[in-house]
Amino acid sequence: QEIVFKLAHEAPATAIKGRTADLFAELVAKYTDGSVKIEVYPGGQLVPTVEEIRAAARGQVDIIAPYTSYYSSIDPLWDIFYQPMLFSSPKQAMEVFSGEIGQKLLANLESRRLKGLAIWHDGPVYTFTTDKPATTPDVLSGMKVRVAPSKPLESMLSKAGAAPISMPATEVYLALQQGTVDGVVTTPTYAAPARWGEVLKTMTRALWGVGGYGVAMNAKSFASMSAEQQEGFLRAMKEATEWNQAQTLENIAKSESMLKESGMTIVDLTDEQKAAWMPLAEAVWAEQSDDIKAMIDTIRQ
Amino acid sequence: MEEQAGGLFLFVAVALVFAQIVLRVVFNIGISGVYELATFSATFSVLLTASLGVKRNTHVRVDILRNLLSRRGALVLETVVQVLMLTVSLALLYSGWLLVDESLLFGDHTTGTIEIPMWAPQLIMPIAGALLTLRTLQRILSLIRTPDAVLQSPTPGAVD
Amino acid sequence: MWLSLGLFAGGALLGAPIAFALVLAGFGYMLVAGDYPSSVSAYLFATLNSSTLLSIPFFILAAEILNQSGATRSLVKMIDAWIGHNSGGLPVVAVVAVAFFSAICGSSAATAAAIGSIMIPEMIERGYGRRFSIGLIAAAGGIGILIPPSIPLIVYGMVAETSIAALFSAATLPGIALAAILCAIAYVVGRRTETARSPRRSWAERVTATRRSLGILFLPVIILGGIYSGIFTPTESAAIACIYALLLAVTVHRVSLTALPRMLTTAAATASMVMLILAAANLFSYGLTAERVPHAVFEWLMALELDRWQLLLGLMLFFVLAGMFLEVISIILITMPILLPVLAASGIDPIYFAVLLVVNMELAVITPPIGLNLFVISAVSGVPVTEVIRGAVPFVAVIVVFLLALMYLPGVERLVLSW
Ligand code: NA
Ligand code: NA
Repeated sequence: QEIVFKLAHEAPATAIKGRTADLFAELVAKYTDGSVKIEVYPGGQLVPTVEEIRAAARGQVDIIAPYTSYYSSIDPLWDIFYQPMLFSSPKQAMEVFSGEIGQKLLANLESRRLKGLAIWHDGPVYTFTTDKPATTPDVLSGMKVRVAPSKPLESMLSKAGAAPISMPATEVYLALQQGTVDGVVTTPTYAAPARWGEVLKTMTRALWGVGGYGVAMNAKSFASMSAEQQEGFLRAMKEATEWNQAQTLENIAKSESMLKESGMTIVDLTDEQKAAWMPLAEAVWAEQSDDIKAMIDTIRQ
Repeated sequence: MEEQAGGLFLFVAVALVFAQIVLRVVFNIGISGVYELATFSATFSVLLTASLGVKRNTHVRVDILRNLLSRRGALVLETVVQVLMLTVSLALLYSGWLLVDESLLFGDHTTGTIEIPMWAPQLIMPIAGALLTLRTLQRILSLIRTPDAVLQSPTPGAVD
Repeated sequence: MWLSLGLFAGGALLGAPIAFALVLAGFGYMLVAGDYPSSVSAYLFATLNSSTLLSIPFFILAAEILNQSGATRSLVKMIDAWIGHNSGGLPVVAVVAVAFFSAICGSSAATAAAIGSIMIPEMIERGYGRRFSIGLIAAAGGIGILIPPSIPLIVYGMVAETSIAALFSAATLPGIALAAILCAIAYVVGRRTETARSPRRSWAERVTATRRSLGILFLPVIILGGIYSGIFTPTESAAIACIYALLLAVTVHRVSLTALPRMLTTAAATASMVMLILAAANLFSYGLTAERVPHAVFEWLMALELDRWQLLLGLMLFFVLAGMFLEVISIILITMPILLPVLAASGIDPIYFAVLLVVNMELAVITPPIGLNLFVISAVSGVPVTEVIRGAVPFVAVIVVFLLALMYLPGVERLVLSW
């Protein structure tokens, strides 16, 4: 008898998450001889994004892959993704979350009736502006910057003297166009397909965090599979995750060239500019819980 | 009572959004979570006022069938509809109660500067369910006591 | 699926409030699907609690304050002074007001609620037919998602990865054209109606009337100015409208603040009805989406391998059907990822297609069984929903003809894309 699982996520089917999810569905069918079927619902069409984690815990949907920041609402440890200036490159971040730290975050979900499956990657979190590039805190000072709710990122903006503005994603395009906000903190992989490149001028590649997705499943749904099916299922997840990692860097490069084509200036920090940001970042780290501080220390070594 | 509260929460929602604009434009301050507070407030207003619509029979309804029926038929129909509404109200009460219970266990809160545990705003769901149940019961009672008055109550859609 | 359709249809036809019938169907679906019973409350709560819907109760409140303070009356007096001697005037003004307002706020439900509560009673009082007045306002309210800014077009741009600026530009001309067509209809039908005409007024009277309504005339200036100078977002402009209306009430119309609670409670009552239907309709469409009903119909259509003109027709029929039950943003999210490669293969420009899709979605809000504008207008005007539906029928026909013209008139596509 065929088992059907609902996989709900909010990204467009064409985005890297959408493609990884579709590949995963294909692989599950292949490795379970069609005995497990994954129905993918992209674009947040099934449940509102803010509801995803709870809907999976409840069993209303079976598999979810929300932005890691959404997990902060049940486990503050997930804030580790958004510690400014902590990771040296998107590639290093991928290695970190493939290792012990990633496993710990996923294992913690068990207390919420969820089985953590994998961490999929998206892109680096950079600062974008409609005017001068945010190379130093001085430039950002006095600006209004849209950011998805995240304690460490909001704290970083405040420390630079900028006002962190929260605003629904659908309003950001207009807000940038009309000057309601002067910039955004997001990933190039989100900004490019959302066409924010049309209304933004600069991207500063200071690594404020890494965007990623926590893939999790209703624990009961997972247990409803036979041992054989579970094995095929997990194998599919492993391969889909590997594909995701292999694609991530390429996808970032593609998004950046898309932004460049729409006229965006891409700026890297000089060592001097980086030094100007470090005290602010360290102050943000100091505000974190002891558990996160321990993680920060591990990552820095 | 729920009338005043519903109006008050609507006002609070407007005031919060207005305050957010003033803070941002005049003082260059952004506080994440104000939007959430405003939407919570607007949601309270909607759900608290819903039961009032039952009391005054102002919810939008389709009246084709009723217009075809005799007085007796209309009375039976209205009774059936009220029982149906009572079922929905009770189901909402139960569902809302489970939701709050689930949130207490789940322990999630809003992300951002202002962290609000989700069970708190969600308390409105069982409260709304209870108020709807109460108002529907009241209407059923008056349907038994004074059927003609209830049948001639204001046309659907009219606000007092 | 059939159970929830049956529960909704049964409940609604028996005469249960529409919102209750929809929630009943939602419970029915969740029960059959084996979902935990809290999911109904959770879904309703999450839908109501969305920041993009926030503007609807706010605009309703702003309209209520303007109505109760007498600001609306002074506006109507001014309109009457200028064009009251011409019986085609008022309906045209109504269309322009609705098109303008909905263009700003981008929500047809909020527009129908706010302007409907002002204009419909006035038109009926003047002797314009009930059905005509209602149908006109209901139809004009949909223009807002066509004229920028438009949230559906932004979502379309995100999903289809097309330029949002280009989408806005392409939708503007059809938006204005549709508004002009409705104005023409309003004028012609208005002229032929026996209404209570006012005598032609002197210029002095007109100037006095205008001066008295300067405050309310300034409202759109503030809202548009605020949005386009980047002071606030379209959603936030709804709160600004409330505050400004309140200031106007207190300073110009000398309304005591003790009148505020009554304005608030009346607005909350209307907003509650509208929002409950919205949230319940969303809950209802959850069942359809979870059962992949639109997906299945859509994939069936895609498998037919139609010619370009057939494909356009088939898609538009599908969207009319989908629009009867689903809301525009869900429709875009469900169909566009599958549709994009098909459009590319058939040589249909995705930007041109967006315009067709959005015009089509204007039908969705004024067609039963779930036509939000119909319910909203019934709620604010007190006219039974069945009569509202009858009033909307001729205007549905108008929009259908307009859509067909956009699809098949030679040269229209080029005009839309490169005017
Ligand atoms: Na608009
Ligand atoms: Na409809």
